[in-house]
Amino acid sequence: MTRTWSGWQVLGASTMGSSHLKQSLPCQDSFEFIECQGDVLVVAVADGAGSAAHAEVGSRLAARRAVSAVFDRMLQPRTGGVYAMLDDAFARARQELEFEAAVSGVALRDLSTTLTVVIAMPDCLGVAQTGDGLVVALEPDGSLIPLTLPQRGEYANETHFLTGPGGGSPRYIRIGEAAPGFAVLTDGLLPVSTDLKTGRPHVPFFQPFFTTLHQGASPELEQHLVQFLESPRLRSRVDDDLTLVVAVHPDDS
Amino acid sequence: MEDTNPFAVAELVDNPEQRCPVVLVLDTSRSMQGKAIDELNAGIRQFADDLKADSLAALRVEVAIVTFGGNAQAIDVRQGHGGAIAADPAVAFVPADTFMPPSLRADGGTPMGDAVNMGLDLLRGRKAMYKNHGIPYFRPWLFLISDGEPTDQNWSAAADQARLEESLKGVSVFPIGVEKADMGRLAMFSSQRSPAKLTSIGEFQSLFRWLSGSLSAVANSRPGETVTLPNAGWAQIDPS
Repeated sequence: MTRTWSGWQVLGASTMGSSHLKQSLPCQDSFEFIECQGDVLVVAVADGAGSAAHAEVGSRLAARRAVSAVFDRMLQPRTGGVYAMLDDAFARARQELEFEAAVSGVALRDLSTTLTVVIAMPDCLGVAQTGDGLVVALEPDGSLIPLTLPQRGEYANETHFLTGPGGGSPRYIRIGEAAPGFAVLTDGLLPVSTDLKTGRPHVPFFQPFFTTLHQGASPELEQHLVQFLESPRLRSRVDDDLTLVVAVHPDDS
Repeated sequence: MEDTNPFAVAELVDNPEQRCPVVLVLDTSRSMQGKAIDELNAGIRQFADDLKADSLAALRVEVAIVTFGGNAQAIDVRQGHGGAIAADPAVAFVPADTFMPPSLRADGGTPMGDAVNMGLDLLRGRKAMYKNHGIPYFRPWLFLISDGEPTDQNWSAAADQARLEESLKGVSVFPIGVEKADMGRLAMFSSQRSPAKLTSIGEFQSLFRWLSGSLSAVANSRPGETVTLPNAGWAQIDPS
């Protein structure tokens, strides 16, 4: 998916992991983004739990509802501020999954998914997360700052979900300075994009995306992103579903 | 990928694979002499072959063996000669792809408590190494297999420790009794599951088949996934 507005250039794709191909599972990652009034960009990325029967439904609904919640708030005369909008996005996304569980007669845990939401305002960048996604901010000097720390338990196969206890509020919220660009990814890409020991994003991984997107998003670029995510070079290294959403605001740098 | 792809130059980081450590704590006391130890050795060879056949499990599963026959000792699983090695988490474990199944011999008493303590120490030490190096890991497994009853004094303290660590989610313990094993005492080593019983030594192969299949399932699992272990045809087992 690519979209171009006057300000934000955004590019995103989700691809299925090789372990999912092997087990004939669907791609359980989802993402959604939209530009709201006032040069505000909202991005949501969700990673459905491998063990949940309808994780692909849970992740799709969660990402979509979180984005629409912010979009709605931005149409109101009083938005309540970034913090309240992030909190509201999680509450709405959680309600959406509860509703889906009720109408389709499945358990809420069958829709288990993580959720990461970013709201980029002209004067600030707000991030909220439950689970093990990653948000990286591009600084004006080209350096990268991780805005989230993946929330994991002690073990590699444990994380937190929107569908878990207290899932109606994000487990982590951070409001910081506006950034000329940012990237949101699911945990599948962590082993190739981040030094897992220090948690530091690897600049030579992210740089080509920011640099290229600076020239403007296009459907062709989206094809390149999908090709990259499905390339044997990457596939041989990571077996999970992969999602990468990159956004830049060329006027800012 | 086409050369024209502007993202082809994105440089990938080389992080270590996530690991799943497993310690096999094996009874090699006198009562295991003869066909039993032969079957156990054959089962371990099968286990090594099966893990190596799964490319992810081969990289992610790390194996150590502790035996108890006369005394508790860590076994060299790099060379395949079955000799003792230091009970040091840095040397006792090997990734499954380089795991050389040892040829074990049976003799002596049954110091099960010492062996379980050694196994727990190795797993704790290995986890500390992962943590220090930023390597993600799965909950470790301790497999305890015996055909008899413990002869050491501290076995019940070791069992208490195993149950405690398991209840704190530090380890998963799978006690397995063979033929005339003391199932009551084996039961005291796990807070999560009853000991499984092998009704004959001919079932070692199926046991190790199940173990490699289960470890493959764990090694291939994703965050948040509750791993469903394969059906244990050889015994009744609660995989929770």
